Amino acid sequence: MLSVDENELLTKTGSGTPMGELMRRYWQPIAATAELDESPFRTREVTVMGEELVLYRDRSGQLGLLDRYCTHRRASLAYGIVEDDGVRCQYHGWKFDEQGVVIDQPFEDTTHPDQRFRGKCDIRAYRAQELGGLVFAYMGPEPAPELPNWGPLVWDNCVHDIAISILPCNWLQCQENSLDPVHNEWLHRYYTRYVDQIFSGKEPDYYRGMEHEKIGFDTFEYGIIKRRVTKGYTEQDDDWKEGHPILFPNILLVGSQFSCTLQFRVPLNDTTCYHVSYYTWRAAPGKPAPVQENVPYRYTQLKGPDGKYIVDLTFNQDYMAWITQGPIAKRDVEKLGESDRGIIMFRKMLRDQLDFLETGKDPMCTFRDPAQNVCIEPPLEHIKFGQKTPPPVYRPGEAGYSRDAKLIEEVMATWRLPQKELVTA
Amino acid sequence: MLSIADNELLSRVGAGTPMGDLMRRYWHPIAAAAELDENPFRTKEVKLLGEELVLYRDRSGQLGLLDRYCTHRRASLAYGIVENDGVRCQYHGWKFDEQGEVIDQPFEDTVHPDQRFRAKCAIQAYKAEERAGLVFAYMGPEPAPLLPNWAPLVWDNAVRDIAIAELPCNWLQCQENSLDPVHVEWLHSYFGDYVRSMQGGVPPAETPIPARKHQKIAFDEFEYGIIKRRVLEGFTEQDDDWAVGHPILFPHILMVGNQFAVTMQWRVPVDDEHTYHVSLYSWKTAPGYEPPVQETVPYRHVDLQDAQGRFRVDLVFNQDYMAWITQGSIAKRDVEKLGESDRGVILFRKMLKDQVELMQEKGGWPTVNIFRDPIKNAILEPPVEPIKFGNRHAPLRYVPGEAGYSRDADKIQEVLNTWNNQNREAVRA
Repeated sequence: MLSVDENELLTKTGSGTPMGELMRRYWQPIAATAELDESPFRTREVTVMGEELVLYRDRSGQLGLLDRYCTHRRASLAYGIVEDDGVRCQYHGWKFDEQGVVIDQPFEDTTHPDQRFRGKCDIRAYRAQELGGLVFAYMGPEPAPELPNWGPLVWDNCVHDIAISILPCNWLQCQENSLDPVHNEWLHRYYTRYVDQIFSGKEPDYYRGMEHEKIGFDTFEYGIIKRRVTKGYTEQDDDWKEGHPILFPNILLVGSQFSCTLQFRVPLNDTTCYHVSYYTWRAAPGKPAPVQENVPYRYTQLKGPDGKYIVDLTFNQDYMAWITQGPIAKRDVEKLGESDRGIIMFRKMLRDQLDFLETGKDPMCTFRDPAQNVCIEPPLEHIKFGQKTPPPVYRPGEAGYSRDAKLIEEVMATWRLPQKELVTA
Repeated sequence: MLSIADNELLSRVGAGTPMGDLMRRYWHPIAAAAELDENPFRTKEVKLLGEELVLYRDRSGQLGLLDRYCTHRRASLAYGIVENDGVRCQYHGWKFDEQGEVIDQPFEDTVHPDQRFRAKCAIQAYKAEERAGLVFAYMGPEPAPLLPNWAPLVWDNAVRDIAIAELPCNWLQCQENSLDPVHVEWLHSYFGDYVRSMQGGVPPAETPIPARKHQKIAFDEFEYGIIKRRVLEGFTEQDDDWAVGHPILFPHILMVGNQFAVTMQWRVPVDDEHTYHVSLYSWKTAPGYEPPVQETVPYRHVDLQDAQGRFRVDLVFNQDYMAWITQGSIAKRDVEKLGESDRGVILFRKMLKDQVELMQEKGGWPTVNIFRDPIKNAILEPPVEPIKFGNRHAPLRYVPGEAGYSRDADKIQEVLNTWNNQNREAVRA
């Protein structure tokens, strides 16, 4: 349980708020590269932590991320004219570069060839950088830290897929879900079976196919590792021994040796979360993965034709749970129990880092040494829930289907070679 | 006219408001039973008096009505797993029964077999009960009064239909309409004829309404609420419209009809700016006839707008809905001008205020329509005109009173035929 004030403190990320300041110290994914590049106008509206921005790629290939509204009379640069060296406002022709500097101001220049007005008309600009098929933004103070090279974003011999969901709820309830191993047993097992039985017209049998006996959480340099022992397994199994991480402040890394997902929970504003699932399928050791021209992306549907949330796919089950907690979950009336120790630890970590920010030093999980940032590999179960081989067919984790489903199945097939070649990496 | 403060007092129904406290002492229809039962997940989101709830029927048949948000981490129980003895939250498996008690708390129980945490995690639960194809809720203090057995809810010689309209306006302006006989002459007759002539045809109305002037109106308080009476041009005080009249049942029901058919209309406050309007139509067979069997009472949701997004105004009830909704989300009673046509509205507002005061003084209960004696509650029969507007014959055919059509139109027609076949001399009951 949190007080109403503490709940505000941890959930609000607008400019100038404490959590807003903390979150602005981290690079956040804001678009799929493919999505920007398929628009012939080369612009895209984005909103990040309540700030309305425009992302564009100029004709020289440079990315720009600017305040969406022209400093002149506030027309939207999302309808701007992208030129070689910047974006020009369609309304009166002012042109800005990716630093936010006015580089052309036609009628003003005609009247005042000294261009004395330009210096007063710069637009707010943020850094944007590409990695792994995503565009990331940095909106904090300079000098900007390195954009972290999390393993899945830089591995070779993989196939990737991106699913983006616009969730009508605050980011924190999404991220808290990742500190909560027990929900897996109910929302993704018990409930899945129930939903499948109901949809196929059967009497539900209420079979409990998984039982958590023990859960554990450890802080580590990048965040928190979560661990579990479920009935039939021991502390020698990867689910306890290795566990998997939440990467501070708003990423989950989950999966196994064949495939894993990075999930970024980016506050679009206080009551909307821009949720990016970055799926990675790895080829078996020594086997090549097929080549992807670019990383495909898709937007996830949240509701079915009946107007209800889709509940027969794992990620959609999560989305339903988070969204129905309300736009900002009322933590002043929740009842946390034994299953929620990870959530309590994570909230404390957020508060500690807020305090730490006041020392003027970098908060945790900030990278400045390029040598340390070549490929960051947090721990992850090799064998998850005892699954030693990939599933036989590609089944999307959330509504929709990857453009590259065939390539994904090809990669999965590299693991189904003779058993003796199967290695726990 | 009301002051802004009085208008707030009578229209606002959230928890802790005076009208909210009063309304919570009455039963409210919140769903058609068929609507709940046709959903294989057996849950339905409900909002009543500003509170977000979930209605469910467990596998043993028991109805439950709980706060919508699990007490643990507030996932919505509208997506819960309905089991034999309660509803289990899909998120972490906590299970609640219809009393709101936690009856399973899996991981907590694993860590603490003494179950010491359970008692702190009970959820708000309300009573739910079924009658005549409707599910009713009670959200007030205990002991709950009996769910009133208004006659049309318990008649055994009738077929029924339920129409539900979700209106984007406060409940009170809907209910005030029922204390206002004169609007029938204008909204349903003059305007109705105008609309029908504009549309180029003459579609039949549910009850042919004579375009006759009101000569006289009157209102009498009686044990269940207020009886309203009228004398139309060409009629006298001997006619049923005056001699018998028909009632509004305190606080939010209208009962209207004749010897052939009666409609009950509940104006249930969803919140301050939305009304769940339930029309329960009951067609009675002529004396000596058995009605066809209805397995369930059908229900339908009423369209308020046409394809162009305008309010439908070609059917009697839809004309009312248009009038109430266009008064605004909460009608501005501080700038209205009440006249002679509005004496019933004034009387009703006074009754509401009186009952609020009585509730606040007399041990917490209003005095009207709180039933505790099962014998008295066996069947409650307020007066309704057997012959309304001089119509001595049942309508020849079924015409819906509001947008849509009953699933059981054939059965309704069968009942109408029991009057028309052999009994053209229609009997005064």
